[in-house]
Amino acid sequence: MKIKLQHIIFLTGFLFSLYACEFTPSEIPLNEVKKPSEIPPEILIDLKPEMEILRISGPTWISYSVETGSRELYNIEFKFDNVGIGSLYSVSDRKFKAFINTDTIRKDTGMHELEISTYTSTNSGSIADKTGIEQYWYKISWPVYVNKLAKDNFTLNDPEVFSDGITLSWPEYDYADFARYELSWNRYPYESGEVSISDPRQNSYCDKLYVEGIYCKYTINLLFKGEDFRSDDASFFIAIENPEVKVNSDRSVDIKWVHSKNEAYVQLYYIDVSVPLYGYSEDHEINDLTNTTLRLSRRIGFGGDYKVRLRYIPKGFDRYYSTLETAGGISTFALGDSVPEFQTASVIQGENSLLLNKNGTCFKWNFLTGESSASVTFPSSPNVRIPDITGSPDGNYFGYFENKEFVIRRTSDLSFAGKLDVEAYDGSYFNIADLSISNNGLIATVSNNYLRIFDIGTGSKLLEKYFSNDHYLKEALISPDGKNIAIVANGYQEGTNTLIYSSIDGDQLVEAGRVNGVGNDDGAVVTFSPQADQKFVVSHWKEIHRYVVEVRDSRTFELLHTVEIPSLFVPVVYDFTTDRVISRYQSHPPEKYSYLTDMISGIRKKIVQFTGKEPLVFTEGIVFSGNGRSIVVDNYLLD
Amino acid sequence: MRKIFLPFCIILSLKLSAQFDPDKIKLGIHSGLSFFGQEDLKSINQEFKKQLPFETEIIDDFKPVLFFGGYSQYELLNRFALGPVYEYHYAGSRLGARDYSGIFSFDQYIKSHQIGMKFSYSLISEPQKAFIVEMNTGINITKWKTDTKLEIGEEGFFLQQDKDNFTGKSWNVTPAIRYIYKIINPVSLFGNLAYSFDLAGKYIYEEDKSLDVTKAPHWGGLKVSIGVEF
Repeated sequence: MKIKLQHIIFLTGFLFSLYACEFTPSEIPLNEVKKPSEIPPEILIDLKPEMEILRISGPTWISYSVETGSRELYNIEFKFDNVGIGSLYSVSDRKFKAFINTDTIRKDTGMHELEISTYTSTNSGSIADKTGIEQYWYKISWPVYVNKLAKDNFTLNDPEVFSDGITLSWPEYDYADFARYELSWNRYPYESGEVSISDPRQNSYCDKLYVEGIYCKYTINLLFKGEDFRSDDASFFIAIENPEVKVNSDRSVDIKWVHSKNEAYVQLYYIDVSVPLYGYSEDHEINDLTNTTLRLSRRIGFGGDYKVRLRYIPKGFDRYYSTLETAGGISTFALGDSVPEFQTASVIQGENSLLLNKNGTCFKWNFLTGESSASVTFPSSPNVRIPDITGSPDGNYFGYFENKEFVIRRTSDLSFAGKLDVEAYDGSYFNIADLSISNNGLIATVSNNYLRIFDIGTGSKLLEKYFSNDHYLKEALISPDGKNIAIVANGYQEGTNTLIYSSIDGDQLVEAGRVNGVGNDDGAVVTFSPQADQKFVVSHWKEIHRYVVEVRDSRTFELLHTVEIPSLFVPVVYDFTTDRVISRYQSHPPEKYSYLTDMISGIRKKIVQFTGKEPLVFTEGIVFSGNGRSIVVDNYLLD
Repeated sequence: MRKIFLPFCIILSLKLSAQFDPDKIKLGIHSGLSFFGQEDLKSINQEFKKQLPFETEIIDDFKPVLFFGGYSQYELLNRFALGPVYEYHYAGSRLGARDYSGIFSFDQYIKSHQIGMKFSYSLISEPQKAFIVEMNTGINITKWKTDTKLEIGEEGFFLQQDKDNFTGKSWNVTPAIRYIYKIINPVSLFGNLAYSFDLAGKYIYEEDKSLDVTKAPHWGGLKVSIGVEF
């Protein structure tokens, strides 16, 4: 039994010792795998945009492509100043896009660094290679220049003119988010165009199609990758050089101009002449571009400014040439000798001078010597609807409104002679329909059917007469001596204007006679002569559009001379020194001539055509026109 | 089965206590080679090998390993004996690769404690020798662990290791034949030839017991052993 017990103990111990037995794995044999080279093989990395220094102004996409051959691409890392860029997008297994958001990276202007790491397999076949632990690591450092303000300074510079065209330029925007420039132009109304520029360093463009005179609007758009853009524009034109105009002694006109600097794109020269009223207009199309001279078809007239306008009609413009808006190319010319321009004028007797006014400045100008006196300037009164200044028949006084009062000055030395309230204003409303001054300082006014006469010397109102409603007073001309007055009134019943000539007897008017058909055309002569001549000239219709000019005695209204004027000619200016009247054709189509009629002999001669609506003064055989020209009429007789 | 087995054991114990003869107790120890197929675990090695990105080699693959055991029997009736039996089995495999860059291994370790009852009947019973048929049955208590290790570079530049543990139970039924030759009283030598059937195995994954373990060790196969009986 003891033996059995010992056996049991031995058996149990044996079995417990077995419990520690366990499988022991064998040693793993070493595989002979060649170590990869320490020097990584070349791979091809393509970064876009292609910039040695990545220039950033705004949120930017970067494209990264890699060719690793048979080696597997494990990973790409982008770090901006050692901070990883999370926005990395796979385009394909070898191409990626990274987004650099300048709004969030908040980098200051200046240089930074973008580090790109590429990890590939070694293809050694080892365990580490196959498990991706053994890798080749390629690191690229890309210098980055950040300037967030670059796109805010994008403007189109002023166009510059060079021999080969118009050069447009703008700040170079060589940054990574650049997409393209789009330069467009609009040459309203005939042409527009656009060029797209994909090179960020091309920051200028030469417009070789521009032709002088054309108004052009250039617009530059800077488009970024994405939807954002910047835009600026500039309006531009080169004025056409004004043509030279030569007015010949026979009144013919020669025009000469220069070639366009870009004549290859000029279709033709277009020349049109704008003329004063009653003048002949004409236009010309010059298709032979070698021809740069033109003689106008018609001779010009006197009394207004002519304008010749040269246009370079560009190729492609197929509308009416006169509708093409162009800059420059305009020259003004007129017939006659140059004299001062004026808006109102009167003859100063005995001084060979004219009292001229232009824009509120009055001065005397001697038409024989060309000398001008000192001037006096007056501010214009509100709402005055009569000429700025009014002169007496002999030119010894002139007057004007200033601060609602009528001021009289002596023409001799432009000195102040007096001022008075001529009841011209009702509040701010100007009532005066007409006003005249006598040589002795009486002022006649017409206002709301009242005739009033004031004495500048005493400042008193000498006469006030209300005319019944069957006549509407339009004009009142007081005689040089202040003893007579010619009133033009519209008769409602007669349906025509009537001149009522009266003598002034105290505060009463004594009618001396009447003339019907007065003042039907603007500028028709109704005027007193200087006092020494004692004449009063009135022109009126004898028949419709057929004038009679009468010279009467200004004291008695006795008819002294009368002449008839051909139909549609209007007597517009009278020379008391030679007793001649000039009649202007005032209908359409215009006539080539005017008439000069001697009131004494009744002889009528054709003279140069009078045109325009400029004020005219006729004395000593010379006609002065407000456009600053004068002619001696005898030099312009046509017969 | 339970309803029959329990009354049988009670009756048997009563009988033994009443007729106990210490000379009828036999003790034995034995050791031998087991030829368990472990096909499931081998297939795991194959699948693992396929999934790995590098070439590997199956170095050990559950080759036959020595097992040890012991038993005691009591001759309850003439030529019929029974008693408890214990066997300890273990095996394993290794899948691995090694080169200049590092080493990889996937090891499986299995071990089982088989505890059961041994029923034997002597067909030939002579003073010097005997020929016995046996039926062993009992439970297999198994531990199975895997160890996956990847080590790259010197000094563990990169080291990754995963260990997984499983435990399981199954029933075994092992018919056997045994030849005994008495050398010197009371010591006999014997040789044993057996075949195990592994039944109704149930395994769990220790880290996640809800996991359904579809492949597991199987302790079925031929066993050849020799031993000493006292």
